Amino acid sequence: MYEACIGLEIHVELDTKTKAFCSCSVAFGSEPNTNVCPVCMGLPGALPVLNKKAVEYAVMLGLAMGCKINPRSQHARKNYFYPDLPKGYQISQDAVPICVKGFVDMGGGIRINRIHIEEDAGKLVHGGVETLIDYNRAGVPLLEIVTEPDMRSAEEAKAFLDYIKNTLLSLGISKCRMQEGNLRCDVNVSVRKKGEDRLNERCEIKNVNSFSGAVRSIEYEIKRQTELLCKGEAVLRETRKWDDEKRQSILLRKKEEENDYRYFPEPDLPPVEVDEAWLKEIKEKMPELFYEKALRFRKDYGLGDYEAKTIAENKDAAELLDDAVKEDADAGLCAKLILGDISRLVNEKGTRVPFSGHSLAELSGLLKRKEISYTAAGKILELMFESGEEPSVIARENNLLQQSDEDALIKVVMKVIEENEKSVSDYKKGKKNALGFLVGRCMRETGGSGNPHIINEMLTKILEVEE
Amino acid sequence: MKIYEAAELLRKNKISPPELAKEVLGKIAEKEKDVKAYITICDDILEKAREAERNKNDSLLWGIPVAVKDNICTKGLRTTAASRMLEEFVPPYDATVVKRLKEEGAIIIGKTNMDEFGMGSDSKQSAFQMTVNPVNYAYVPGGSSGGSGAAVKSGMALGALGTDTGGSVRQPASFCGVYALKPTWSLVSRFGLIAFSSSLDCIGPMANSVKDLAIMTDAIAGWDKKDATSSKREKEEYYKNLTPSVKGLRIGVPKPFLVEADESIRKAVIKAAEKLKEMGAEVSECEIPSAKYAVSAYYIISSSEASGNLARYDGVKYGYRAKEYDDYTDMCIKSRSEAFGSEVKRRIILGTYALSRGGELYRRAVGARELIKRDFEKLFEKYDVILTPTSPCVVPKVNAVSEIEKKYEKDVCTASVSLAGLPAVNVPFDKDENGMPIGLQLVGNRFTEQMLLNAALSFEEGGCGDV
Repeated sequence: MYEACIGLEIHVELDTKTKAFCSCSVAFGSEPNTNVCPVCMGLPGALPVLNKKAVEYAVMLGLAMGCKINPRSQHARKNYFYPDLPKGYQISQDAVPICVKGFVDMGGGIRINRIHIEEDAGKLVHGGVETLIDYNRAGVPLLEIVTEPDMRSAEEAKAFLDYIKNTLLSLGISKCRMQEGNLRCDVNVSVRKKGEDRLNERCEIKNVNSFSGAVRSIEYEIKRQTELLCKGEAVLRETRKWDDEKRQSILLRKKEEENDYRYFPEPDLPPVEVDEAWLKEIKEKMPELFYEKALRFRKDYGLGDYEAKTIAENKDAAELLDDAVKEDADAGLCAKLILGDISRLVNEKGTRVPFSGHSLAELSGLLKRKEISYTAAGKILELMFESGEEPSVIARENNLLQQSDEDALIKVVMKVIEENEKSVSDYKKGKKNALGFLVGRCMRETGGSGNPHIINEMLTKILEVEE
Repeated sequence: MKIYEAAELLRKNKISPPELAKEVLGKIAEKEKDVKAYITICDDILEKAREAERNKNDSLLWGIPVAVKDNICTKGLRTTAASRMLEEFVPPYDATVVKRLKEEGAIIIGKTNMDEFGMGSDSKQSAFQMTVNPVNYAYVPGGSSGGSGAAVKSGMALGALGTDTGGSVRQPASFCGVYALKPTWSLVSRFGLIAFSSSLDCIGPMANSVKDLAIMTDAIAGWDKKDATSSKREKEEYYKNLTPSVKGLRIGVPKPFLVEADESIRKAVIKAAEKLKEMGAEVSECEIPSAKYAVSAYYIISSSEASGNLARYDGVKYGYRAKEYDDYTDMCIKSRSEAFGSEVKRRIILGTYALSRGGELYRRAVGARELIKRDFEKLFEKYDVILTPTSPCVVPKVNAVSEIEKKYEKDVCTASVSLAGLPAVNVPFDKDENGMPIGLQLVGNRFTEQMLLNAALSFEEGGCGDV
């Protein structure tokens, strides 16, 4: 009888070369305080200059999420004191963000309130009695995606997060490495009686460090709020902190203790202008999105829904498929290999696919021409992951090619017919499954290398003629 | 000595850079103990002069000794903004204006005294010393660029850089009887200027002649990739195109700025108007209805931005840190409490308040600023130049005490121009009853520096500037 209203604030670290407002590297894992300069350290007199790439990436994401792109957006200062914040304010956007009013067609539809550009803060490193600060991350460009409270369950939120991640990956604008903090999210949850339109007071949950953490924290929060409402108590607006180990959230601050960030327009930066010409240029540069890919795989390659979607969501897999098809490979066969043995091997070995679409095309060609069996294809792939050798070479060297030469096979077939009179007469009497037995015998005689399809054809031909 | 005269002597080898430097050092030895214009005097002036001698160039600033206000960063040379907070701060970079002066071959003499972070109008808010007016030591030199004005007037530098947020180069120039230009906001790069109020801060030259202003402006103006707000318009050649002209100029004299002015100031402006008519200009009275909001709007906007700009001084990365503290918050509070002067604290508190709870006060001030801009735009449909007193009040004595609000009110003529981002020059014109200088402010539309300098030159060549 209760339903949850869930909104997300997702922070994405962009995969630019340099920081948002200076030319320092954004490389992860460098020696502390080596990727810094007067601008990102907030030295007196230093001024920010906006990274154009960050704007491009923001526009790309905005377009992918169906947002309106503001032709003139404005940066703003978010003021608060914290030791990892070098200037005492974060350059963000407030009243006029770069992207507004987007929509994602999932569940009942998820509206995007805004996407804006901002800079990351440094990192506190606690050790012993001291706390040290690493400013390498200070100034790394972030996009903040803010949704409306349109998700109704933890599963929907998880699906949306996956959707965002896939979008970011197909745009190639973020590495999306959770362990490096490339993707972080805050969760807003409120609960109301089903059928009500009005939103109840919400709680914001911070420190949700993984998608699964998001799911758990949402489930926890829905339960907590529902219990309060059932007891007739009110849910108060507050910020809570998720503890994923204890699987519970704790009160961080109440509404009246919230920071007043005292936003005002950043006077050191002119408005960000995205004119028609630039917008067009960005649109042309935009890579195909995963859902557009899935549609194309269905339409052009004739793949099924599941196959198309699964391959489209994986950038490597989709690229492999496209490259192979470009070399006239059979898309269906390739998809089957990608979702079968190739996925299995990628998971088992924990690596990326070590060969190109060209090799996959060759392998699928061998299969299609029945020069190898599916079993052999699996073995060949395994060896391809190890040696990187071309499939035809592996097949030859490992005797995995099927014997398709009728001249070579005829002796075997005749021998089997002579030695299995019973089965032959059964077949002639109409027991068609006796043929399978004969094919099996032939296969055994060839040590497995005979092409069962050819053998089948030969046996049929001979037995029909003998009649 | 004037810059253009010294440049002529240098060019003709009638004097060498070291000889010129020695002359200035002689003035410093004679006067600095009383005037106290400098926070830091360089100890390598003669070496730099000898180096300049070896690297002769065509610039009119070659070998010219100049002073730089102590809120403009100089690489390897202590830059304090006259604050305990930055008492030991040595910037690892030159401000763009300093870099450009050095490239021209100018010799930096030292860093001049000022009101802490530019907040004040008498240079008494310096954490280190009190500068007096070289015309009469019993009077203040004005501020915040009082050290620069005093250094130029007393010959302890041939020219100086000041900074102007609400009148801080024009008013001390008026008090000391020297020329000054506050350029259009965005004409001169702010990179390396220790920010007070970014949307108002301008770096401008102070000197003993209009020609000197033109020479210095030629050097420092122009687009800078390190300041995203700097104007990309083509560079002008002010000195080359300098020609005395007021003939046919339409000049407006706003009544509100005269009504409140001291008697001798009002008389001086009326006299100037007569003089302009004699020289062939059309002069008439005009109104600026929004002028009454200027001081409030100026103090709210500049203090709001200052509250953000000064947040970086938290004792963490550089600058003053309290000796004893419990934790980060305590360290931050103690460091700021101990190292900021009372005027700076007053403005931070005012600005923080104005931005709090939705920033209603700040937004109203921005609205007033728009009105002021519009009023000036309308005026410039009818006039080429607006003539006002630079300060509505005569130069106060060093020991005079005045209430804060009264003190702020005196910024009315200059602050309104700053809010509109317009260029203005100070022209020394007359003397008050105490024999202290009275300055005129000539205001032009955006980027009309050439016209203003030409008009000022007419006054100078008409014998008005010798006060």
